[in-house]
Amino acid sequence: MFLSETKHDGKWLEWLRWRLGLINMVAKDSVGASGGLAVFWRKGVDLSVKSMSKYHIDMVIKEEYDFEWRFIGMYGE
Amino acid sequence: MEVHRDVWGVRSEEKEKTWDTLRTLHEALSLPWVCVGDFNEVLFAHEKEGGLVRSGVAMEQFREATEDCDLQDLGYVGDAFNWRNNHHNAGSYIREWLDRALANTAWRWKFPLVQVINDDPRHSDHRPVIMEVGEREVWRWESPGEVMRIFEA
Repeated sequence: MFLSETKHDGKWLEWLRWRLGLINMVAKDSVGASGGLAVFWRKGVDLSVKSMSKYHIDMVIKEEYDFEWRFIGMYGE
Repeated sequence: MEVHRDVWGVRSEEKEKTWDTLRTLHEALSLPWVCVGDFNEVLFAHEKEGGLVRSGVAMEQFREATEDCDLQDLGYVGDAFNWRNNHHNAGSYIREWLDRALANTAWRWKFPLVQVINDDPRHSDHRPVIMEVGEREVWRWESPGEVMRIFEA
């Protein structure tokens, strides 16, 4: 699950990941009350984060038979 | 120098950073990829209703970036307008198609049954966008393991 404009700090996101039961999380903090990106994913999903900025989170998901694909969460200026 | 500003007050060179990010990501890895999120821009004029008419240059920049990156829109189910301001006055009500899923050809081949659903908004000015990837296309020459199982069955 990808969220943009989270407008929150780590504490709220931390609470949310347990609330959602999507216990893996990576987040780009908001600057003041604007922006902020976060991705949550289920236990068991083979996901690695390749890069992130205020505009994006770039991830590679590895599936069976070594099939890999990229999921990018995007937030445009 | 003339500086273009849109309704958000975002200068066009700031917007160009978003599209450059997309191009950099495109060059970084050659895997099947899907790019989902709030692009804060529309591709075509009819994707916005109400308010000022969207700048042709801004839309053109977005279209160019998607073409440069081999990205195609995955479409949607539901209401196209997945963002709206919450003005109750009809004269200032604006709605736009800002959230979308774009994927390259390789990704689309792998996930031919993908569905992007613009669901009902709850607390946000955006609709939640749900991407159901569906069954993945598995090519036999890529997965000898599976072919073996079929023979064994």
